[in-house]
Amino acid sequence: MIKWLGDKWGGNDVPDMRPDAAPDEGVMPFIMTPEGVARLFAPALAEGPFPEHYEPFETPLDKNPFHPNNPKATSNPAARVYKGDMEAFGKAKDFPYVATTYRLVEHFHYWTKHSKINAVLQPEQFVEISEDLAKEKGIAAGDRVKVKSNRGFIKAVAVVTKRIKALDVDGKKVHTVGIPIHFGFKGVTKPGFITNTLTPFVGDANCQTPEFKAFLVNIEKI
Amino acid sequence: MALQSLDIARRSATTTPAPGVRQTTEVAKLIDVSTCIGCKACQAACMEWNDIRDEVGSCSGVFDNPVDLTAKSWTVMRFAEVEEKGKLEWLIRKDGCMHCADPGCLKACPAPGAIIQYANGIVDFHQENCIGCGYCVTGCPFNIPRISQEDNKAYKCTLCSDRVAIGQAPACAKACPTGAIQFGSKEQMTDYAAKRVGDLKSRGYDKAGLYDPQGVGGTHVMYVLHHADRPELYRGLPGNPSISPLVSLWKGFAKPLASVAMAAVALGSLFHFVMKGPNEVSKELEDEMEKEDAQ
Repeated sequence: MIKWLGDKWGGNDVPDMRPDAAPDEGVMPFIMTPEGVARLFAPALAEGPFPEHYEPFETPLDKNPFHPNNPKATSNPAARVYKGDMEAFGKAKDFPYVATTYRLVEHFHYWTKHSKINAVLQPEQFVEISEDLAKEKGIAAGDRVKVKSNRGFIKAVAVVTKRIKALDVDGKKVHTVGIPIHFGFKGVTKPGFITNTLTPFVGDANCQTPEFKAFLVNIEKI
Repeated sequence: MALQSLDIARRSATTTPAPGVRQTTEVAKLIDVSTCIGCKACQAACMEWNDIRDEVGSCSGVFDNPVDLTAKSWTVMRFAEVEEKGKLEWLIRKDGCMHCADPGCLKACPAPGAIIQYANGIVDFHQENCIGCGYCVTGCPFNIPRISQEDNKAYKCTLCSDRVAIGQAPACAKACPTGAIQFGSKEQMTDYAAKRVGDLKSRGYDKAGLYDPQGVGGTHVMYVLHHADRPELYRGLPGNPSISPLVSLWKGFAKPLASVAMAAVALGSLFHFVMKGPNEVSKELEDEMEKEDAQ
């Protein structure tokens, strides 16, 4: 990748350390690690040294496809979950659809629902579903729907979109319900429901970030 | 509103010639649909600069909001999900006044000075002269003007004529975070568009092109489209817009006919007066009526 050219390091890459540090100076190449050399694995991660795929705690699958015979490896064994929150997880047979929460360009967190201009640009809470799921559930764009998780429910307008497609996961058709945040019971926007009524309380094993991007819900037309 | 009378090229329902001593550069706004991310910053900027606030609406099952242009929403993003060769394309078009070189609204307008075309190409409504007849709505090939329910006057995008008059770009162009809205002389914008079209063609959009429809003499708001051969994909952008035949019927045929009819009535009355004299009740008839009254 790189080699010593007599006065500086050259080649296809650039060195991490000083580019004119001669080999006999003993400057180690990876300045961001205390030992000065590259690592094959990450020693600091709570769930182990190598990258691994885990299913979310609320998963539409009954097992981790990478470890079908090890039920302990279905979801991250090092994640932080309290007992009561664990008991509040829903099962795929009652809540067959995957939900994810996200933000919209028109709003900033829960602040701008109090601003007239932002409220004009995106005035009312909605959830997004695929054309496939809409057909299955008899939902048309503009219908009011109720989205339920094992922890609560929200009511919103359905936006039917080509941008969300059913996924083929381990031979199973998995639908996604997209749920923008931003709305609530106060503001210039139309009154809405708090999205985090639905979400599970899971702390990521390393950074404790909550698992609001993947959980299970059901959806029905009101 | 802020441009001077020296800069006026055309004025609705006016026959006096326009002032011609000053040369003005023709301007244009270029909307590059291929780099628009649909953030609606242009809509926010339009509301801010023009100090207009539409009603807080509701979600009708689509991203668009406000759902349509109104007297208080002079520009709206129109979102279209189109599947092309198995690939999903989210085509987002900023809709608003196209500032036609040959404006149907101005031609249709019967109120003197309610619609102005400036020498730089901007078509502006002067609401103080507007009589709220709605002919501009019929005249517009792009369905842009909206009559306000509050004051019964027509409103639409001004291309920020007040900003342009002092050398500033329109508020939407200023606010656009991706540079999808460019503003400059029509020549500069056409050149820039050619570069963008070349880039799109090199990325596999063979039919990319500039939308500057000649049916209305070209426009001062132009689009770069990935599918210039099918502008209707972009939420019904007309392929070959032209001024409604109703306008030519009204201006070309019905209006002179009406003038002739009015002149004929006036002339007829005059002849009647000359030949027969004024209509008068005869003395005998008057006496008879008085007698009847007395009884």
